[in-house]
Amino acid sequence: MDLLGYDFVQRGMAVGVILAVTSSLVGVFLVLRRMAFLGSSLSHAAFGGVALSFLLGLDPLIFTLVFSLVLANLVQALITRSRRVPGDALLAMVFSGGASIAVIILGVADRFGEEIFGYLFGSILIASKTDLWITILVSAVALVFLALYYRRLTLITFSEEVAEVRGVRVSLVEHLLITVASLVIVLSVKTVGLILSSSLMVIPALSALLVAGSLKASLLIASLIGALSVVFGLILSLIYNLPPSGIIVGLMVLVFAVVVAVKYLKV
Amino acid sequence: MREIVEVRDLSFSYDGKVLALEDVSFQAREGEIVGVIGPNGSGKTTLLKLVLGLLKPLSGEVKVFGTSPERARRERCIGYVPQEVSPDPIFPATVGEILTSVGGRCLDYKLIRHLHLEDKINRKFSDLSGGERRIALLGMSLSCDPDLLVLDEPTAGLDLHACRHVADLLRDLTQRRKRTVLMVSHDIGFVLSIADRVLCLNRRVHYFGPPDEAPEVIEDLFGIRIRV
Repeated sequence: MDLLGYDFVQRGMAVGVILAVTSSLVGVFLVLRRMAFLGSSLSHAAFGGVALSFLLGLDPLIFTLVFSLVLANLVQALITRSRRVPGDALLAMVFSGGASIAVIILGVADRFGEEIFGYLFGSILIASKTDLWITILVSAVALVFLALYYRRLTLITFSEEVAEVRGVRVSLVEHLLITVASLVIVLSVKTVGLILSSSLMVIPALSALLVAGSLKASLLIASLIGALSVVFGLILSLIYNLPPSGIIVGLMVLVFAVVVAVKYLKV
Repeated sequence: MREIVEVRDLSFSYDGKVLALEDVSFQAREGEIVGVIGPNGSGKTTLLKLVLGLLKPLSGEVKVFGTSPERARRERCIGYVPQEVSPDPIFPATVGEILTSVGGRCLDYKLIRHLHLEDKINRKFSDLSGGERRIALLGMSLSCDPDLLVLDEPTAGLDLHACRHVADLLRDLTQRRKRTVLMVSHDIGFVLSIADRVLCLNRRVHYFGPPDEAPEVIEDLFGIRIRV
């Protein structure tokens, strides 16, 4: 446990907990709006974006951020304008499209391979001070958005028609939600890796929604599941010398399995 | 009295070929209840959505508070009870959370007591029965103290006692507080007993006027005999 005294461990823990809380809160609304696949899709689109940025010689973080934000908003616009195109199918296309761009670029110019994979499967324990500050900044933006738009998000999730009649600009709120979600996903991909970023967005939210008695309770429970999974996952990974991302995701899945077993299988 | 809703020569089509509504005209005045009745597929819900600006007319004009429905929605409070709200079973919002999402941070306990919602305020909306949901939706539509109330099947699934309670509430809103109610219902008896004017619709307007002169048209439209 002496390892917890190290700066890099404390920084990793702080980055992980902040991202877990932010991702879980945004994730509750994404899951309720049937956009849970957004995390996986955008993180794979980011994979393509990172590869493209290396090929073009551009800053990977800025390029991937712009690339993902544009892509996410295009998908949202398409879903809004043509309600006949299923959102989950579009997100699945973004998922494969992003991965295919990366595969093509890696095949053509394999000299970027190590850098690209390092960027995408980066470990929470090598988070720098800059990563911590970026995480704090992005989380602050996301939390301010959720606080300001909480009632409007609740209403559009309940009924878009009622929200529209009450003067809520549904399309604008949807675009803002997807923009904030994209921002959190892209930056968490860089900081904690592809697997952990999409898992933090979905698994705690899903577990919380199965047990919570209210929307506010679901937000609180999701944040707690996310944050505690990061804390205990990191401790276990340090004790047993295992990869932290895998252990954290494993813990979140375990919590979900317990919730399902207790709620539906009456174990 | 001031006209709150004005509909002139309104036509609408979902596919651009078959008209769902054709040359519909009517008005709803301040302090008035206008009830819309008609058979299934007659365009009742479509008409409400056009009045609310949720659909765009093919031709004709809709004015709400003397302006476009979109502008009226931003400038005035319009209460709306849709025909159906079926949130996802995992949507965990309570009745209280839904009421505050429409009406503001604080719950209106006078309204909650009036609608007998006290024991449902902390229950999930998705756990309520059909009738309880209608009452909760009515509470939601009233929580912003609306100038205009648009109701699609407000009594669906309600027992007699609850229907009477809703009727008293709507009468109080229109007669004492001079609000306007536009409602669609399959419950012809309810509409004829409460509405100041009745609109009989079957894609076109078959009758628009006081309820006591409506039964003949209703007999033609539905093939049933009505006694007022």
